[in-house]
Formats: sequence, C-alpha cells, structure tokens
Amino acid sequence: MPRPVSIAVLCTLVFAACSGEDEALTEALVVVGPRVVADHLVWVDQTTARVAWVASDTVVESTEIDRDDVRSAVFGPEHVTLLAGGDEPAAVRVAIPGGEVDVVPLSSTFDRAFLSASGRYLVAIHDARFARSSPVVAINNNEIAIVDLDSQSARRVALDTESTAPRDVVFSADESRAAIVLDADVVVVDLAADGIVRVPLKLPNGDRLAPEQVVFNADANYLFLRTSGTADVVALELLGEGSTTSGVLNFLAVPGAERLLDLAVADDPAYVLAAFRAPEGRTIAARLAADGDVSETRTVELAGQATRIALLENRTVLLHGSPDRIGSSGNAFVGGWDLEDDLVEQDALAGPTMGPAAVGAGTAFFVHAAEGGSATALTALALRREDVRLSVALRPLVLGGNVRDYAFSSADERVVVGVDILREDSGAAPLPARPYGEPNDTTGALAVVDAETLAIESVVLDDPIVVVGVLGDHLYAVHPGAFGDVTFVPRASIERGAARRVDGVLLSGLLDRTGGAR
Amino acid sequence: MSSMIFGLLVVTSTAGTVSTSSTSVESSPALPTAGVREAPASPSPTLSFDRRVEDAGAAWGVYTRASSQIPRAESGFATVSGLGALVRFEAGAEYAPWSPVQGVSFEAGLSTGLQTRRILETADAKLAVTSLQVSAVYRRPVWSYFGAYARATGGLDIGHLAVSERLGDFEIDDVAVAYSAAGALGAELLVPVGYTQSGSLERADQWLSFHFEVGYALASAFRFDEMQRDLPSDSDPARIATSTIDAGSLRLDGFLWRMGAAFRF
Repeated sequence: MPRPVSIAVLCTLVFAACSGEDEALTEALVVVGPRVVADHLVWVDQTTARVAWVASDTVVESTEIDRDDVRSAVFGPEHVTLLAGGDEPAAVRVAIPGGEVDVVPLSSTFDRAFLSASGRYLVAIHDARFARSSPVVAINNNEIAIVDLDSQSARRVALDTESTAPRDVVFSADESRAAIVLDADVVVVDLAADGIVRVPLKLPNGDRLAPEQVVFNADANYLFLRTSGTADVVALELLGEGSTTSGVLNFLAVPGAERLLDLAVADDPAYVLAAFRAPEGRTIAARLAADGDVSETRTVELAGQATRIALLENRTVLLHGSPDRIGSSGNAFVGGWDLEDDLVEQDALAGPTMGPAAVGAGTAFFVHAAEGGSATALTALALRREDVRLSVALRPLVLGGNVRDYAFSSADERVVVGVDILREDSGAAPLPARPYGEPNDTTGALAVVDAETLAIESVVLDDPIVVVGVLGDHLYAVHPGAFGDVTFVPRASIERGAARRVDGVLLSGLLDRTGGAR
Repeated sequence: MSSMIFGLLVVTSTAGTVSTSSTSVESSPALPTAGVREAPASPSPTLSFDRRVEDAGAAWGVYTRASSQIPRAESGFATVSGLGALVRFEAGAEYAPWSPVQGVSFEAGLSTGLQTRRILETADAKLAVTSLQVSAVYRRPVWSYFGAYARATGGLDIGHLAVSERLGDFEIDDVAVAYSAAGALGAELLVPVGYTQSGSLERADQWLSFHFEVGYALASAFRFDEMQRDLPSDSDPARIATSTIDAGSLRLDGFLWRMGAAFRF
C-alpha cells in the first residue's frame, strides 16, 4: 500500500504541474497601434512580433513575423514595417491585408524607424530611449540605415557629427530628402543618392543649439529649423543634389521677437510661416523669405499669446494656443491672418484648450474647457474673408462628458469626438458588477459634428473610448484593453444597430504561434 | 499483507483457461497464496489462483487516476502551458463481466484537466479540458499479484480556452469540442482486500488495483475560432453586435501516462 507521505508527494507534484506559470514569460505587451493601413486598422505587438488587422466588415487576420526583438513598427499606406534586431537585423514589411512579407537585411540592430508618407523610404536610427536588451556592447549613434522598401535595398550612412543622440527624422514632401535631427546637429541626406549635408548647430562662442522643430519647404530645397537658444528661424538652403549637395545657412530674424514658437509650411515654397512671442504677451506672426531677403518679410502682431501657427486651405493663417497633446492645456487665444490683404482678427475661446486643434479646409475644431470650467466644449472656428475684414466665427458646443480623443474627417468635413459619459441610463448595455462592488460607471459615446452646419449625430457605445478615427466609410472607436477592442460605426448610419464590435484583435492566431509565448 | 505478496506463482495459459502451479518459499510452508488464504481451522492451504479466477465472476469497480498528456510541440499547446503537459484527474466506473483480475473489462468516466500560463506581463491564458472517456481493457496476470494490461480509449473532449487581462474585468473565451482515441500498455498491482468463505477457504472478492500505464493519444483539433468576451448576451439594452476572433487550433495528441487506483467488488 502506498504510504500517506507518498500520496502527499504525488498530489504536490500534480498540483505543481497544473500551475504552469513561469516567470520568464512575463514580458510586457508592447502594442503599437491601431493605425489605418489600406482601409484596415492594424495593431503590432512587438513582444510577440505579431501583426493583426481588421476592416470594418472583415474578420480579424494576423501573422507572426519569424523575428526576435522587434524594436519599432511604422505604418505606411499599404504596409506595416517592423524593425527587428537580434542576430539578423532587418526591416520586415508586411502587406495589408494580404500578409505578404518582404525582408530587407540591415547592417546592425536599430531602435527606431521612420517611414516616408508614401511608405517607400524607411530611415532607421539608434535611440537608447527605445532600445530593449541589446547584445551590442557599444553602438555608434551616428550610423543610420536608409531603406528603399520598394527596391528592397538598404545602405548604411555615417552621419559623422559631434552629437551622440539622434532624436527625429523628417521627410520632405517629395521624399527626395530626409533630415536627421540629432541633439546638436541636423544632417540632410538624399534618399535616392549619396548626398549628405551636415549642419552643426554650434555658435561661434562654442554654444550649441538644440533643434526643436524641423520643416522642409514644398520643394525640399530649404530646411527651416526652430532651435533652443535663438529666436531666429534657421534656414538651410540645399544646393545641388546627390554627391554634390551642399548647404547655405541663414538666420531669419524678426525685430521685437523674444522667442520662436512655431513654424509652418507657407503657400509659396520660397517662404516660411513663423509665430514668435513678443513682449507683453503678444504674438508676432511672420512670413519670412527663405533666402533671407528682409524686404520680403511680412509680419502682423496680435494681442494674445499663441503657440501654434497653421495655414488653412483658404490661404488664411490660423494662430492658436493649443498644447501639443490631449491632457495638457493651452490657452484660449485664437487669431486669423489673411495673407492677401494682411487682415487680422482675433478672439478667445471660452476656456483653455485641452488638446491640439483638428484643422480642416477653412475650419478648425478646438476642445476646451467650457465657461466656468465645469464641462468640456467643442468650438468650431471658421476664418472667412469678408469685404474689408477677416471674420473669426466661433460656434461652441458643450459636450456632455470628458473628451478622450477627436479626429477630423476631411472627406465629409466632420469632426469625430469620443467622450466618456455616465453609463447609467445612457443606452449602453449594462455590465456585470465588478468584483468588490466597484461600479462600472462610465461608457463611451461617439459624436460626429458637421463642420458647416454643426449638426450632431451621436451613438453610445458599450465601453469607454480611448481613440477615435475614420476608416473609409466607417468611424472607429478603440476601447481600453491590452488586446485591441474596437467598435466600427458606419458614417452613413450613426446608431448602435449598425455598429459592430471586435474584441481581442491581438488574440487572433494566438495558438498558431510557432514558439508559444515569448 | 507483504507476506502474501511473496507467494510465488507461476502462471501459464492454455486454451483460454488459466492454470497455476505454485511453490512456497523455503522455510515458509504456511505462507498464504494470492487471493486465497487459509481459514483459521483449515487443512494446509491449496494453491488455487486458477480457482480464484474461475470463481470470481463479474465485478464492478470505481477508479480514480491522474494522467498527463504531452502534446507535440507544434500543437499550439505551448501557448497555454509552460509545463508542456496536460495533467488530468480521472474518475469513473468499470465493469468486468468475467473476472476482476483478468480478461476484458470496460470503463466509463470523466476526466478534467487545467493548464494556466501567464502569457505576457498582463495576460493569462487558461485551457480547461473535460472529457467523457470510455475504455476497453484486457488484463493478464503475470506474476503473483502483478498483471499487465492493454487499454483502448475513446473520448469526447470539451475544451474551454480563456484569455484574460490581469487587471481586466472580463475574459475572452471560447468552447470547442474534439475527439480522441488512445492506446496504452500498463502494469497493475492487485491486492485482495475482501474475502468470502468458500468451504474451508476464503476467496477474495474485493480488490484494490494500483496501476501505471503509458501510451499514445490521437486527437482531433480544438478549433477556437469564436473567441469573444464572456458577457451576458441578453442584457437590456442589448450589447452591440460582436464579431468573434479566431485564436487558432490546438491538438492534444501525443504521449500519455496514467497512474491511479481502482476498487473492484
């Protein structure tokens, strides 16, 4: 007869076998997305190298890339590209929705990738902030890779600067050039040839300027810089092309400017738009000639304090006080500048802005605190040129909840807003009680506002919203959750009955993973 | 009890009957023999393992076992199991139409197994498998109280796969059905624990079985292609229509072992 102790040992072994939790498999889920690619929403889980995508009317599809150590994912119009490290560093491009994979080997493991608008060129850089565990003892941050994903070729480019950390990459609109922004240098590289221009941002006294904003003009023959330490616009004129590329530096100054706040592409490639802080809380808006010809400089002064400048499609310039991101707050100032007749108009929103403006053709939407600060408002701002004046028309709407995200639908000139509202009596499906009696007290609602008429359509969804956007003829709302939960609503029918929900997108193909959890 | 086990039996089989000759261990002429023990006032014992078998007749039994199935690496099982094996508990009833110690018997029972795995920092996967199993077993005595047997098993397996966020409220899950068939070879230790008086002898009619077996199972795939959040579907207002997720397939075929105990009467 087995002794009791034998039975106890057996039970212990069996119990241990049932709980197969191994701490080595507890990597954080690193999800990038969702982003819109080829009319699909695409998620990338860098931990498992899995790409999953779904359209408004399709089932979820996914594929696992046979690569370890995915460090970055970037999204193009038709593809998503993963930057993989490990023993065989590569840029791995996945076609959406076909799932075909192209692999372009790289010379070393890079940490971040930047993709041109067309999806053809990828620039890979080292960035210690994004590095995961690296087998490399030392890396040369001044080495980048330029990948032509269409021809599946890559070349290594040595930047040879005094900077130690690349920060950003900006592509020109025609995709002939890219600017590599380092901590105290900017390097312009030709994407299709070997041309390279190094711009050390060092003053004669040895002080270094840190680039904060980089803008190409439309023709890619000028690069404009906003840097720390100077209120001037730094303009780099790029001459020649290929291996003969060279550059000429100009400092574009505006009298009375205390600080350069923002740059924007002008309507004419020979100019750049800039907003400056002036004394006593005023703002100077300027259109500066790229070649430094001060006789071409045009400026207007506004009484309020703006932080951003943008050119609308009707050739009016919008100045506003929006912050860079949702969650921070800006100021309530808004102003307009008509470039043709130098007409200026300014106004103030009812409260400080709560995120960046959603800018359309002639209309911009601002989410801001309502008067009194107890609610959130959405204001549509229209800049219209009238006979002898520029009009700034503000049309506010008070929203019945906290705004989580918003996006502009340029196809139909509507703004899509995701708000959190109280679940009770909202029309959302009830949820089972949470453990410990915590209430499920909020849900999300999607509101669609027409830019012209301010007509509002809304639909209450079954969970809070973190991201909203437009996907072809549908709107989408992403819900909180690690695995990708999303609701699609047809733009033509903003109602619950027409909506479709998909939960756990990143669990698609979970069991088909070749290596199990990693 | 231990002295009985040392009774030496030599078993031979001819034309469907079992005859047994026996030699007592030297210097222990009065040692009792398997399944038969001397009544207190009886003459010298008779070695009658064959009689025991012939007289035993039909028997019922109950069993409980632990088993483990080791699916192949490419089965998808690794996603939900860090161990690589599905440990199960089995319980059921058996019926031996002719003898509790040899020949053919039949079993029916349930088996349940559970595997959990933290698949990521914030996510757990859980696979629960419940099976309805039927078996046919053929036993042969080998030596003393030891026997060997072969088992053929068929099963209807119900799998429940659930993935949950550690801090989330709900899990995403699906239930799938698969079928399995398995063959195994095992060894058994039979211990008589109950006797009835038969003339001058007591004959065993209650047995404890301790057994161990190894084998291989073939199984169809669990197809977890309708994963969705585990929420009530009849809420008011109704939930927005939900599309399901295809998490893929999982097969449990592979080597297996079982060990357990049975009581036959």
